[in-house]
Amino acid sequence: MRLSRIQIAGFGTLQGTELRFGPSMNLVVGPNEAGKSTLQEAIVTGLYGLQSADRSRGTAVDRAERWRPWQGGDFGLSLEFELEDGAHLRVERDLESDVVRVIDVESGADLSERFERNGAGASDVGRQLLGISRDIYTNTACISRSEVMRLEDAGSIKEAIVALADSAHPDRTAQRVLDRLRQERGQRIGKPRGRTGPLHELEARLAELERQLGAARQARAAVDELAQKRETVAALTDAELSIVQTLEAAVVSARLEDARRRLERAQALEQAIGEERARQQQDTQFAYFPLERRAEVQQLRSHLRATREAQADFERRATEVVSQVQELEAQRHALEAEALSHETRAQGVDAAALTQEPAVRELLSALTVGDAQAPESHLRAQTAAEEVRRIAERHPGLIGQGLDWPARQMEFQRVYSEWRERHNVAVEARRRAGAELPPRLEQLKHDIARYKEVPEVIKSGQQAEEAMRREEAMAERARGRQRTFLGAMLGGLLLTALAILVAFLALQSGTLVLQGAAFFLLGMGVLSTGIGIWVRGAAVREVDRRLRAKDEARTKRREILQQWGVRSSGELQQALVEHLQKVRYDATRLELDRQATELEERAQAAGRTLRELVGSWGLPQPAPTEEAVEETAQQVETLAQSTLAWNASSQRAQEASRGEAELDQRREALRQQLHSLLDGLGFDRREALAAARDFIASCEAARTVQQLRTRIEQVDAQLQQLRAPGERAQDEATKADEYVRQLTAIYAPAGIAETDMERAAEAWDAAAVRAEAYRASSGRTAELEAQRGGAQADESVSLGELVDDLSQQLSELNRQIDPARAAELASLPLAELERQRDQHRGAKERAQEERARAEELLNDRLSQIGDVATLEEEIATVREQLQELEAEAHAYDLAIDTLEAAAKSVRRAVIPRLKSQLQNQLAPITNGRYRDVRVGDDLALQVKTQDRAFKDVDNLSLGTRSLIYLLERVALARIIGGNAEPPPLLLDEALVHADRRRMRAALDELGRLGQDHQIILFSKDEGLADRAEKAEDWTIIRLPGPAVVAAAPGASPVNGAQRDEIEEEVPSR
Amino acid sequence: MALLRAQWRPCVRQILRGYGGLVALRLLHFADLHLDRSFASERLYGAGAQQHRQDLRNALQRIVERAQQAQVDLITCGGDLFEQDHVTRETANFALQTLGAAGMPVLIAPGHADPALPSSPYRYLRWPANVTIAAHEDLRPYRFGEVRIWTAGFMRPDVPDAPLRDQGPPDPGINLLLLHASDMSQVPEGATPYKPILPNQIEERGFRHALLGHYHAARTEALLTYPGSPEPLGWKETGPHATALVSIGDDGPVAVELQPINQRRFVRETIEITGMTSVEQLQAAVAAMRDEKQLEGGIIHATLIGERSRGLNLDPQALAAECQDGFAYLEFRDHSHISHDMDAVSQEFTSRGEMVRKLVDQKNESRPDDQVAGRALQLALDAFDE
Repeated sequence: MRLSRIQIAGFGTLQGTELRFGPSMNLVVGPNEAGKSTLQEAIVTGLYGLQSADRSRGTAVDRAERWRPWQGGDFGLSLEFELEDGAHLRVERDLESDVVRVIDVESGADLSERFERNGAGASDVGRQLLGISRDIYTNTACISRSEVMRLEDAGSIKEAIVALADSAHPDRTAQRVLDRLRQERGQRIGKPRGRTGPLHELEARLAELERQLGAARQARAAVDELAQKRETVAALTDAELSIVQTLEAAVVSARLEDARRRLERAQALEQAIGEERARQQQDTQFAYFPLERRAEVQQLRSHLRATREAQADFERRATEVVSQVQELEAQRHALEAEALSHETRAQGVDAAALTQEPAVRELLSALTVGDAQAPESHLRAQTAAEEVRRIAERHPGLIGQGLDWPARQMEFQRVYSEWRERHNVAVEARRRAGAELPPRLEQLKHDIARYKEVPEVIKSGQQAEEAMRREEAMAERARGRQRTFLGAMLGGLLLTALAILVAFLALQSGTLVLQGAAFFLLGMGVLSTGIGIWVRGAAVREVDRRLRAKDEARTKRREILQQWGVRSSGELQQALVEHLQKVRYDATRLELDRQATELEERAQAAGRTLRELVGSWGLPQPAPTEEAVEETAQQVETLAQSTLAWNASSQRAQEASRGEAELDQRREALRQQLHSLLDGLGFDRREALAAARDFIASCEAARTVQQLRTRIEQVDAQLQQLRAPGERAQDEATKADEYVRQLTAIYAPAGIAETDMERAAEAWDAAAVRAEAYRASSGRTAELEAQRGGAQADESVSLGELVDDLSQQLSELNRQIDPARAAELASLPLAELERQRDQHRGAKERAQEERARAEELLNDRLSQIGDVATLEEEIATVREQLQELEAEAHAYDLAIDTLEAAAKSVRRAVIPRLKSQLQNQLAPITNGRYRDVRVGDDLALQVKTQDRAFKDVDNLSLGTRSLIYLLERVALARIIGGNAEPPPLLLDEALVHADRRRMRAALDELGRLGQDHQIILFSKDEGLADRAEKAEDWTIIRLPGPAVVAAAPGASPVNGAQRDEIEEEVPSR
Repeated sequence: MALLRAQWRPCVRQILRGYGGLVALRLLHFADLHLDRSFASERLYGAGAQQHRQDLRNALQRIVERAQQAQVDLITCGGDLFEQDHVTRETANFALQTLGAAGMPVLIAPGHADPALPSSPYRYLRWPANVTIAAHEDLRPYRFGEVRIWTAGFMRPDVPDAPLRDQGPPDPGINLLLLHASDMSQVPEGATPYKPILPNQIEERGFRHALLGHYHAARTEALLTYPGSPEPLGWKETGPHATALVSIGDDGPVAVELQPINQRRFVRETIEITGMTSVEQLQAAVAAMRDEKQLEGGIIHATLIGERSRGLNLDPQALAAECQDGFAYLEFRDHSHISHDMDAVSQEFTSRGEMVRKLVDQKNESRPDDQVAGRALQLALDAFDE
């Protein structure tokens, strides 16, 4: 954009003014108060109006008041300019009514509608054409004298440039904003990850409130439990009370029943006693009858009757057996004669010798059998021994005692199976894996083996790095202590100095207080200094120690990682990751090969075990082929079978030999036993068998004699039995007489004189019945009286009263209880009811006590319950505040992070462009002293000196600095403006620091700059105007000083002077 | 209040139609007082919440005074007299003493907020002889003169059963129903139904009228009456709040008059502060709002919106303290912001412009309720401008 003309109807001091601008370089020159600044503001207002970026109405009003024509009249202006596309526009602003029109100068068309309107409704012409706001335009494209003057301060260039790059404002750097945001965050929320600040305090407050709420809710829960318990106990109390009442009713009911029964029984007893006494009067005469001898009489009468019956029976039986007695006596004589003849043949064998007969018979039989078996046993032993010898000869040296081939066969089978299984698996695995690996995979395999130890190495490296970090952190902490206690030490020294001063004053004044203060300050100073020195020394030593430890850890890490050719465990970890990625592609093939190799090794190990086993048995070791091993297996099986046959034959031969020897021994023993037995019986002969047979014949004769003697004894017993009945009949007659005598002695005192025992007995029985009736009646009377006991005669009356009383009680109780339950309890005995009642009464009292305790505790807890509602509200408040603060913290953090990133991003983009734009302009303005420029990350500018060293721009002369700043500002304005129209640059005394040489160079440089931008330089320096006139492309606009009275409206001068007076534009082209 | 009375008058006339005999019973019905309620869910905290809890207590005293002045025979409470989860012993004693001193019978049907649990004051306190607690879940009649009032209470917080579903016809005579129940024909928004009933069930089961509690907005119909909560309990409770004066004639007709009783209102307001440059202007705006909208004695949440002048520093708490006069409780929330020309800044090729572009992008990509990016933008631009 290039301004071509401005017509000011009224703006500040300027009124009716029309100025024309050259397309590139313009110098507005005039003394102070000539209106240079007003013109500059008028240009900006022509482009942007009075309102600024914040659309603040107040700002616009302030500006309007400031720039309203001092001498009244219209408040407005029009500005003409050409755009890069050749368009020639005029902006007409009526600043009073804030009306803007944009006119195409060539066609006269009104283009106002093409321009957007800002928030205040005005056309935003400048912003739309230049791409930047009014503020940015004034801050970048307008350079004031005050700004240039500020460059006298060191570092001000960098600060100004940074501020412009950050905010297009001369003193608002991103760093300042960041500091402010961080400070605000710290004050309002607290530092990030800090343990102090409002956020932390709110969190602590929330935790405390939640704890209190939890406690309050627990207390409320405890109240719920207690209330539940109280209800339970109350229910229990009521239940127990009900039970007690029911039981009480049951007890009363039972007592009532008992009283009724007792009343009835008492009445029945009285009646029975009266009846018995009447019956007793009828049998009084038999009161002294000897009833106690009645049993004795009965016994004697029974004995007498039985004795007389037995006597008659025995007499009858004696008469019947007389003929049988005679016959048995004859039989006894014959038996006696036969027994005498057999006693002769028995040869003196007695009963003791007879007991030995079975033993002699048994020995004789056994000896006969043994003699018959001896030849056959001998033949069997010889046959078995021959079989054993024959088998051993078939496998010389391999069959014999201790060679257990069946067990060896089983062991062989186990080892053989294992070998065969592994062999087959290995063959199959090898078939799947292929014959051998390609060389690449061989190398990879080698690498895998090598990388196995990498994780451990990484771990060791990480430990070393961790140790380094730890030692560094500890060293940093020690440094912190070092700094802290340096302060303490200095403070101590200060206190000591103060103590000396106070001591001096004390010596001067002699005041005791000052002396004490001096001593105190001295003590504190010395103490602080000492502690400072001591702790700082310890910190220094610790720093050294930590740094040494860190070096050692670094050395250790280097030793660990050096062999892997890396510098850190991270790199090694990366190498491991790459290796694993490489391995992953060939992993399957390698894994198959590894498995096949492993299985082959296992098969070979099993084969070795098999061969060693076979060799240890004395057999030839088979080759590791299936055929050879199978042949060995058959050989082992044959040997196992032969061993089994040899073992069986050997066992049979041994058993046969042992049987033959045992048979011979038994025969000889039997023979010796028989000899010794017969010798003891008196039958000792050389031939034992014959003597034994002779002894057996004598024994048989002796047994016949014994049988005959037994028969004679039996006949004697029969005779004695037949003669017994006669003797018993005599005895029974004697006993009957004795019984009659005894009965007569008893009957006489009772008044019975009958001699016939039958009639006497009848009389006795009749008298006994009457006497018994009397005694029974007496007994019942006594018993009834005893039952009645010592009761009063009016017992029935008192019992009747008791019954009435209990009935009344029961009816009262029945009103309070469940009748069904009472009916259930009615079946229980009174004692049980009383026991249960007492038991439940105790339970009821305990429940009542428990209820009282529960109520007391409940009341106590209820008084402890906090104000839950307030707590909940406080928690909600704090949570809300916390949420707000957290959101605010996020916002602050986001703002800080985003601004930091934005600043970095913008600087990255600005630096190369700034450098490239400054690079070519530097040499001319510094007369070739500086040709190269370096822009730091912080936008600090350095120039390259002729000795190729970079020099900070702050170290250059003020004139050079101001020119460099000017160039930098212009460059930055172009960068900030972006791709929109290049803005006209308004420079207000911007070359104030330039000397003559630099002024010329600057003007030249501005001339070059003017190819891209229109430049309007404001100055009061007439010398500058002179120089500009000598330069090319400059348009000089002279503004008259304040002494010159402004022309009347309508006769406005062009370019500040009256048409006929002004020097007019310098036509430099 | 006049409007409220005018609205209910036809209803009263309708119910009283044909009534010309003697009054058998006059009673005052209220419900849903919710003593010791926590207002955390309403975001009413601190002094405001304490004040409103005291308002609820005062309401109970006003109810008893009104009953005494009206010389009614009975006070009935349709449940939720207090909040079991929050009630303190002191508040329970206050309710006991206030109702005990009423000098007339009081019949309370516990509701879902004050169920007659073992730990309820209904159970652990010894209530005066004139106060009857219906601590039973089945409907039982209580006789007051010629009128039988059938009632049932909550014995646990959650009772979904319909109380009239299996209820047989009561004895002949005048039978009323007192329940904490939900009229399912008109369920207010946000209300959780307990003990559902329908108006036709009331008539079918032989009851003349149902005195109910649970809904916090007062309304009365031919067969049922909700007096509403005596004081509003939240920002959404904008309906009427009353007690019901019920007259039962000798021959059965029931006349109900709803009498407003609340002294508080919950109101949310917004105040536009664009253009204001001093706190005094804001105070004047608040006073004008109070007078124009008749917010005297109200509980007010005022949100400040619009563009804040750069020179205007706002401290909501200090501002609330300064503008408190005439309100029961006043709280400010500052949602105003300082204006920035975001479009212009975002076109700058500067760190500020880059930051704005990034944050605007982030704001556009974030959820509508995520205000972080917008707030970060505001903070950063404020910092640039200071």
